[in-house]
Amino acid sequence: MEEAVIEKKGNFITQSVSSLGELIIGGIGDLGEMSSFIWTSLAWITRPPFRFKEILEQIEFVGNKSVFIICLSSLFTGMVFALQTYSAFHMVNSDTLIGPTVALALTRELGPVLTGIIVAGRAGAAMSAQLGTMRVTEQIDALEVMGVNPKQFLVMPRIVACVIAMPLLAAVFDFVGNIGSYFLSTRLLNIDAATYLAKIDFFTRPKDILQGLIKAAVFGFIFSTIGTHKGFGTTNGARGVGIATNETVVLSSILILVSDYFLSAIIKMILY
Amino acid sequence: MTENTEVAIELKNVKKTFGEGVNVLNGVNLQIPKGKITVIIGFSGAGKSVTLKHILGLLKPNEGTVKVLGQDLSTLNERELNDLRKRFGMLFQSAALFDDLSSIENVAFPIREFKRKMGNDEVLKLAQERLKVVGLSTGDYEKYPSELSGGMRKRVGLARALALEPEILLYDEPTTGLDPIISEMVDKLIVDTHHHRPGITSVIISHDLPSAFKIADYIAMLDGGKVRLFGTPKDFFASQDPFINKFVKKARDQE
Repeated sequence: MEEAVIEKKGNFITQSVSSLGELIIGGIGDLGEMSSFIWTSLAWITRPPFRFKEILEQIEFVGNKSVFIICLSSLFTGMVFALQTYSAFHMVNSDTLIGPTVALALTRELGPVLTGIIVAGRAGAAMSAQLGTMRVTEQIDALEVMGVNPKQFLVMPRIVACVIAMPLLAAVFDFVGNIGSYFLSTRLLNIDAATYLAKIDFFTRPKDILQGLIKAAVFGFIFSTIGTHKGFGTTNGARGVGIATNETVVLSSILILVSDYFLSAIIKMILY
Repeated sequence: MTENTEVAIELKNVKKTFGEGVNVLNGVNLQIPKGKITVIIGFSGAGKSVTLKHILGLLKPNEGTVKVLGQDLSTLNERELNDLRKRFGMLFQSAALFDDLSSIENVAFPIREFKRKMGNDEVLKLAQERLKVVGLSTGDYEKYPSELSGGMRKRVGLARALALEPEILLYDEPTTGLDPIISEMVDKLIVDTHHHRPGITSVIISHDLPSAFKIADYIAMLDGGKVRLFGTPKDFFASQDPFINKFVKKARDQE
């Protein structure tokens, strides 16, 4: 984008305002460029060749290969959450509420958000690193010159795969997290197993699980678009790839947390 | 150049400006003849890579037209441009091999992409033929790009560029950064490939002057975003232009 050359005349105030203006205009420009990137990439979903092989490969990379780390993280998340809520509930003699509290916290928030951050760090970073390396070694140009559209071949499968795999991973997180909480509560904290499960059943609704899965899909969309966009736009060799990867992880994590708030607010309005 | 020689690539008064008034191309007029080896030479910054990108359709000119195989690139939509791109093959400076695929899979990639009806065995057989032509030993077919030397990577890159039997072959700085022995090997490869396929047009972007004078049928010299001279090596030796003379002398000194 051509940058407007603004002569910095005048006093401090006018300079600050014009700098702010440049920042905003630049930001809006970048946002527009990124929206165009996303739109043109996703438009390829409906156009042949459909790249099923590439989509499946990406689902395996984002999904299957993340299962172990998700299970491990969720097990301990469930356990520690049960442990900490115990302190509060035990004081008011409501131990049996630990089950549903952990379940709701996992399905509505912890599941999708932690899955999002973990997988963004894993797969999102990998996407920007791989595409960034391809960009600086001219592999993306080679694809284009061969008559293969790089957005269709590289970007679209990654975005689609993340939107599909993330809810599945979040579901795994929810499930294993609850298992961790269950075993901690019933074995260590001596909460009655039957009551524990009955209370979960009483308080948790399908919509609590569903909203988490929808959030997970949105987070998958967020980090895959950021990762692929940063990778595609990499310049300056190896250093550029490092910068792109770093920016992907940081920006994805922040956006996941920020959007989580707004999504929760909207969901609260619609579903409750 | 005679009137009845067909033109493979034509640039008419192409102008390109980047950023704030950086005129990289200032009215390039170039007609690359079919079936010959044409080398585009020039110092760094003269506009060689930018010219190449225009030919490939990766850049659009601010003014002027680019015609490849008779088609004006600005009139083509994305699908038509992609179809046209299948008719040329390009060897990038660093070969630009896909590093998650083996050598043979790299060569098979365009074949799989555009000849979808071909069975896997047929595809691999065709890929092997291409690798054989460029002189890669069978033991290296399954190796990944990171396991190959620079010279071998160029061979695989060339085999991939030739996979779909293109009408135009483009080389981006094929000998830059290579030692003299490998450079000579690459020059020979370019000439052999050209003569192996009658009718193919070879276009080489280079600043390797001795190579250019050795292998070119025609040379186009870019200077300051314009074509300073277009002709056979003889035309260059016979030129009265002091700038060209200096160029020719430099090439002779480097041999």
